Amino acid sequence: MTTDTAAPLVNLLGFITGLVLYAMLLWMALTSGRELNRLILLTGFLGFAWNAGALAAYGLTNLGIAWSTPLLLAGAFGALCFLPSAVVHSALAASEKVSRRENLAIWIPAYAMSSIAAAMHVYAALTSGEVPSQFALRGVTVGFAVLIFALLIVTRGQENRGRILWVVAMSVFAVSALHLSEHQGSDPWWMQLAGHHASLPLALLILYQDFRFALADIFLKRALAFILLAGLTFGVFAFGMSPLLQSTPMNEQSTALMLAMWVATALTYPSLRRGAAWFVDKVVLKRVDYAEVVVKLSRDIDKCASPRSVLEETARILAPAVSASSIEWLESTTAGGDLRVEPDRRSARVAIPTGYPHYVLHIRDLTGGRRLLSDDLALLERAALIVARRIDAVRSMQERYRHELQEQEMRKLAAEAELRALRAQINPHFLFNALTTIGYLIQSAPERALGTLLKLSGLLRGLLKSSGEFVTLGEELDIIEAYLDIERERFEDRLRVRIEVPVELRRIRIPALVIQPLVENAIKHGISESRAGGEVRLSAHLDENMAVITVADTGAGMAVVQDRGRSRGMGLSNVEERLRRYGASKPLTIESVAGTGTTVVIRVPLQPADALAQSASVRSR
Amino acid sequence: MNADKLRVAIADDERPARSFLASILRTFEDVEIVGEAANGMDAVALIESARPDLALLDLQMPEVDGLGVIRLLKTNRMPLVAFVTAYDEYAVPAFEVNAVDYVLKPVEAARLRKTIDRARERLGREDYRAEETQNLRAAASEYESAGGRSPLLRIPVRRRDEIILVSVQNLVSIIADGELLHLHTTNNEAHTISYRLRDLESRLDPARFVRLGRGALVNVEMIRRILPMPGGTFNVVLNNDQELRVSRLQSRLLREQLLRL
Repeated sequence: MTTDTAAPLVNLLGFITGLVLYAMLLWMALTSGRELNRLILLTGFLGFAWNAGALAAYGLTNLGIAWSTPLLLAGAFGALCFLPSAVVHSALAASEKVSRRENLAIWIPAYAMSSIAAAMHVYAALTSGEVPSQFALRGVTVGFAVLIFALLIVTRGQENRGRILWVVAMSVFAVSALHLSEHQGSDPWWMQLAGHHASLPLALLILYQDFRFALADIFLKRALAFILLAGLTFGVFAFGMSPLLQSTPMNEQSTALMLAMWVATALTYPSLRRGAAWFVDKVVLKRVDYAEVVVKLSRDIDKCASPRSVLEETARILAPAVSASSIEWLESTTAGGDLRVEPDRRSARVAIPTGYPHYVLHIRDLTGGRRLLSDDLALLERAALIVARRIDAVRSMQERYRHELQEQEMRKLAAEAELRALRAQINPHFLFNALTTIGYLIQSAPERALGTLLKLSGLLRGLLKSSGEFVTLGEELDIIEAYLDIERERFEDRLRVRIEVPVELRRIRIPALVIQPLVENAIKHGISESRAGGEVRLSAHLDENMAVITVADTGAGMAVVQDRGRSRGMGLSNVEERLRRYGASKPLTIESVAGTGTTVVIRVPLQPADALAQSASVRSR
Repeated sequence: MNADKLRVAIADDERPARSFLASILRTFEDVEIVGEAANGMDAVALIESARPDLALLDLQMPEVDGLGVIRLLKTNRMPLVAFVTAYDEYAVPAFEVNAVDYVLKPVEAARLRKTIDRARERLGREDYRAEETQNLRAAASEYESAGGRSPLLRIPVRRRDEIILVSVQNLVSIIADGELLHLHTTNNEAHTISYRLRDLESRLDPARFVRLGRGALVNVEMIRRILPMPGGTFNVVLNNDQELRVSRLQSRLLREQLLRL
């Protein structure tokens, strides 16, 4: 193999590629489903005919198979001469502003020229056997060069990007025809490539414009990989092997070398193919990487906190990925129906398989001549699944959150209701007795009556105050002192009171109304049940991070102290329960001896801020 | 002493309340206050000695409360009674049902006037004492079964003209005998009160006193031995060597409650 053989190799590959491309174009034109595009069909047919004929005439000769006849060659060249006409016609059909007269003025001469050239080729074949007819080719070159200008003038000012491509395609044809008319066989390989295979860009152009994704899916990736491989092989042989083999005659080493080269070439094929696929997706189709889309999608919707934002984010990500002009989402009452593609494959409905309410993504109007193909559908299905999973997760998260919120709210309400109930639990017995006392005092000591009345109203205000769950010990003591003052007016010298709470402890915060019920109990069961009365003593001290508060009376005492149940009375069990909720494990102890009195001790956990302040004051001491 | 005046006794352990009540009564010209008592026991003595037409009894008093006073009063000394209470959700319905008069604190002159008038009217009837006794007992019974009174710590017992208080801790057994109850104590004393066993039981700590049958209530702490009897019942021997039969039904309950680890 020498450099001389490079040109036939290029020809062979080129014609085969052309044959495949035009076969594909034909097939696409026939099966596209819509009304038959005759121009594409014609182009496909002409291109196929030229490549088949040329392959038979030029490509196979070099392989030693020579069965071309002048007539066959004439047919091939005839087809080639018609191709520019088809191109011109297509260009005119694609442009929008061309008037009917301009249209006719261009394409009639084009077809006429092509017909004449084809006829001349056939005539040459029949008469001299000298095909192609040089004259015909030159004529076609000149004629179409003129037509390019005409076309440029007619389609001027148009935004159509394809216009330039058409012109380029035409120019290539012109060069091609010129080349074919000049030469016979001995040109360098690159000249052969440009000249003989001018039809390839045309096929690619049409496929790219009208069947871009099909082209990419079915052909381009493989073809490109193949062309790259062929190019590589060709390069290796033309610039590496040929000089090597020329300098050294054939022997085992060169055979081994050649074999190694072949193997290496075969091994590079997978990476070539991957590269080709990447190139086609990124550069030709500008298609995004679906794996990346899926990763991005799942990453981005992971941050969304509502089904709505999930769907919006999905639409935002998917729309460019499938080149849709819009993706809308809406709620759907019916479940299922997963994926429905419209017959034109330009829009689709994707059901999100989630719980009620269901959602549907409407993918509308794919741009760039794009159709939804199998991998698009796979992407959409996968995306739908991911989105559904996320929406379900978001929903259950929201549900859980709502639940928690509700529970919290309910707990808060319960605590509030309890406190309210506790506050409303102003012992009516106490109230009416206090009023009776005031009634008495009005007659006997009006000034003390007024004082007691004011204390009673202060006490009621304190009990009914709707501020928070916590009060300072000082505030609680104020209530208790008012309460005891009133009771002292009632029981007179039967009730004696001693309150021993260090001033610094009056600042600590305790749950509201945990001491007052104890004092009330001491009066009710201790003092009022005893003829002689007794003393109520209230003291408090700190024990680590607990405030220990003692309410003791020297009254009647209780004969029976049960750990649980009625004998403790409503007030105490409520106090105990509330303290337990604030973290005291054994918050309340009672000691009672009949005849000598009752002692109740509660342990109130310090609030964090208080505990800190206390420990600080201890350290500073 | 004016025969036309209604003779009234007052009992309240709280002096201000008592004085307040007395001050209103003093504004009524047809009322004479025959005495004031500061507790239930004094009230019984006062009523039996001064023999008022109407007793205004505070419902809540230490040791012997208003209802305790009427329990202790001899039937032929029973005056008309109006209870005075600040607030009692159980007492008021019981009084209303049984036609027992009551006045709420703080006492209102007009309301008290009605009580006086009502008492005057009833005094005209021949059998007012018997009727009043019956009404009061029914009201007290109803009130106690409603659970309105606090657990009893001491049981007041009349002995001739004095009243002694028997601590429930010292009670061994309570045996019913017709209308009467015999109380047996740890120091081998026996007292008799006029009370229904069912009413007394409802005012005692159920963890401490258990029924042995229709007519016996014993202090659990005082049971020395339990003897199985033929037929599956038990006999109980108490600390004071009293031996009591346990009914079939209570034997079963006893077995479940006391004889099981």
